[in-house]
Amino acid sequence: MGGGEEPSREEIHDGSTTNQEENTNAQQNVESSPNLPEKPVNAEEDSSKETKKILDEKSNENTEGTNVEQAQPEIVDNAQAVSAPVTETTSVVNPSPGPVEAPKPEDTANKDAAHEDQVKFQQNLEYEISIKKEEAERTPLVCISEDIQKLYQEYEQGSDVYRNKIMKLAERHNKIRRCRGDGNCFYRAFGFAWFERILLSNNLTILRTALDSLIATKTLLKSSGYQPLVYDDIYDVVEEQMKAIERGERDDSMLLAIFQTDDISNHIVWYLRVITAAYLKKYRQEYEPFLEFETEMDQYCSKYVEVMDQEADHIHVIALTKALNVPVEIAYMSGSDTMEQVNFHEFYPDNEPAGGNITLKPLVLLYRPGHYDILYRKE
Amino acid sequence: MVDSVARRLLKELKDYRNEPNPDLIELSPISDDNILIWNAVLRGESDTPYEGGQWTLRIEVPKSYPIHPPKIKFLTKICHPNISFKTGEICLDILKTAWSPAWTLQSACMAIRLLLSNPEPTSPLNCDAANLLRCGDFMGYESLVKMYTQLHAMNQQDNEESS
Repeated sequence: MGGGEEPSREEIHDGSTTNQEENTNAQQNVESSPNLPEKPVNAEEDSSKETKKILDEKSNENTEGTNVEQAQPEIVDNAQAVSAPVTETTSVVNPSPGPVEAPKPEDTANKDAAHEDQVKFQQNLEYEISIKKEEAERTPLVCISEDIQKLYQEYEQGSDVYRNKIMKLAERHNKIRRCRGDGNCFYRAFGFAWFERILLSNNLTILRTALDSLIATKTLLKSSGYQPLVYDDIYDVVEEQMKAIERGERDDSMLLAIFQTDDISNHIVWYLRVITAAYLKKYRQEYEPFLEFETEMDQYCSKYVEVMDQEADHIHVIALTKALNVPVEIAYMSGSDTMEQVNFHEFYPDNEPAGGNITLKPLVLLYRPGHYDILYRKE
Repeated sequence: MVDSVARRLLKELKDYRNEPNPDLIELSPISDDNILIWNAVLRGESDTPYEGGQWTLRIEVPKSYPIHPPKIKFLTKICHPNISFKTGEICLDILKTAWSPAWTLQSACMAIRLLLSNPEPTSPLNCDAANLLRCGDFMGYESLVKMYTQLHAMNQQDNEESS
């Protein structure tokens, strides 16, 4: 058994803050058995819909989560409604044979109250998650590009630091394209910017190079221990989109429409995730030292890389750009920084720009604490 | 996208049938007309109070599978801190927020089997089983689990209880 409480991860957060709550919630780590690919097995909360349904229909004793401090008044009524049936489960213990010792007195005494609190906490958590999700869903997965002045307007009432930085940014960049803050924004921004760059390059060499890199990822995935049956179909979705560009069947607006379609967009996002995970696993010796608490790479990937809605860290960016041989520049813009410049971090794959005479211009992303969007550099 | 779900599930079925798994006695759709509902039968691990038992699981696959997780619950009654005694609901993160398409129905079932021998009493769905563990009463816990294993999971006929 691993530790009970999950260390809360302080690194870069993009998108919503729900992950923090999930991480601080009581979880379990179960060591992998030899029969299984090494996966962490954790207990966590339901998605809000599921639990609500269960609570409503079955009045079940659903009491995950142990932290009770964040009670909110809005849903107390619901919590009380489900607290009653909790006592029914005690009947389970009565017929127990064998030398069952009496539970510690305070356990029995506080049981109902504790359960009620747990139910409340759980419902509050789900309520919060559902609100944040709802909020995020108002933004399309990928938006229409906007003038960079829109970004400036966002901070008109806000900090000088941001406004000054945006002014600096606007010297070389004229447009921004927002992505939904659902935890997948790095991958989605990367995916869209990559496809768009290939489409607009109108250059067969660039397209073929990209297609070759994509095909090569299948070998990478296999060598990192993924079963082909888990990625084959998803790979096909991504490849099909690339080939549609080759056949001249895509334009700007169609590409946007595709990235706004849940199914295809999420397939692309997940494929980029699994490429990232496969690369990190392949070069684990290089990247494992960056993980906290000597986390093992397989476990890290199955918890934070392969899982949708989990935000991307620095090493994810490095891994993905290297695995696909796509150069990326990220403008890091934070309000706390005293420097007036926006820092650009360059993620150039090893064989760039030496390899090939025609190279892809770097994708440009904007990072603000918790979120990635796409930037457009003036031509 | 239903076609792509069916394609993936058929691959998983073929994969399971090509390499039978002694710990997972059965894994297949319950009928030919609906590939989205499966049954699985888990064998309890040796040297645990679940030894000798066999539990039927009901798997409901969403149309957005494998981006979204399958819903899995126990049809056979089981006594475990993280499984509801009444409904068979399972509290396991990979079936909820920690799911990824890298899992399959088979590996998810194996994760559930692993959960049996690695209970997490701090997030219980069965508080009575969890409380025994929290009090450190392992003997009481084991005999309770054994009793329910014998009562419900040792006899094949009992496995087909309705939910």
